[in-house]
Amino acid sequence: MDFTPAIVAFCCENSAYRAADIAGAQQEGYPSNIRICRLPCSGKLEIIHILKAFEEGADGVFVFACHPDSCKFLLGNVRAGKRIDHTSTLLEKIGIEKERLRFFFLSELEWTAFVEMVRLGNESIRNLGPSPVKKEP
Amino acid sequence: MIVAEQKDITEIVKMIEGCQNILVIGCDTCVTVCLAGGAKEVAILASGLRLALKVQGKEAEVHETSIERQCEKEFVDALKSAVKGHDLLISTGCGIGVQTIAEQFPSLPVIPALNTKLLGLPEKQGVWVERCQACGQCILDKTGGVCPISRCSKSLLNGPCGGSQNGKCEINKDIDCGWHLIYERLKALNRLESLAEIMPVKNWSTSRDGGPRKVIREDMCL
Repeated sequence: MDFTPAIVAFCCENSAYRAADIAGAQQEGYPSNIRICRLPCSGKLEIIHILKAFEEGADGVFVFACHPDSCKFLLGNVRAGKRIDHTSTLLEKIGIEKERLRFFFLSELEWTAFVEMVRLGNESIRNLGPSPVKKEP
Repeated sequence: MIVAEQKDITEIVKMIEGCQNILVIGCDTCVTVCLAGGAKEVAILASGLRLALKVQGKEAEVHETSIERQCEKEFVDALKSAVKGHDLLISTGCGIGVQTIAEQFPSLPVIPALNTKLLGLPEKQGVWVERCQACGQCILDKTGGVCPISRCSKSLLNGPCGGSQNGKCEINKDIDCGWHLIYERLKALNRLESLAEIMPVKNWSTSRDGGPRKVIREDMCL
């Protein structure tokens, strides 16, 4: 299918955002259709941010948090995880595949893992096809 | 405060079927504190409904607003300009809020987005517990500040019953026995002797048994 998904990646600035930065500096290309949104902590992410991304035309939303027990604000990643679970259930009820919302743990040093996760995630969203929200009435 | 929780979004999607211009109205008082129907939850619900409608290929507008208190006509009246052009109102207020909006805008259908659950307090983050049943005749002075009507599963006035085991209620081991709590509280207050007093049969006509209730303060009436 000739389809380039629009993907929003919410990245904690203490881990994945830096990893993405290093990946960029190393010229390790990750797909250009990934729009990175910097968060001061994954715990800052709210349910409405994810829903708005889908409303604005995202085919997939990725959330990157620090590894368990590594959050600078102690529990931000735990809170993000709970919100992701809640939002996944909500998306399913709305009629959007929950696989379009992905949650990853990452440290700032794992820039190669970041590239890999983004590439694989991008591929899985491409396989899902365009978001059902984009259906013409 | 009044504690409520949001209905399943699939139930709300069914209720809005066939409507074109929908306004979701939040309430910034009790239901904001219990994270069920404040401005934040209104934004999530409105966004969810917009997405659900798009997924179903339906064309409809969903707008959102929030007011200080849906249970007071003065605040609801301020919605007059906001409701114009809408063919359905969704209230994320408690049952009182929904009815106030219905009374103030009789020509528009109003649907509830929440199930009103109880009168209570936040026990901890994300957990709300019942503390009052609005029975209309408070006896907390006799029970050490622990309400047997709301905290005893049988609303006994002379408890505990035989189902009290190790301070827990027989209906669920997660529920404290209300009368055990009363005993512990009165013991701490050195007032255990008050338990020897038999409470007479309660006049339940001041509660729901007496039909819809009304409070009138003649000195305040205009």
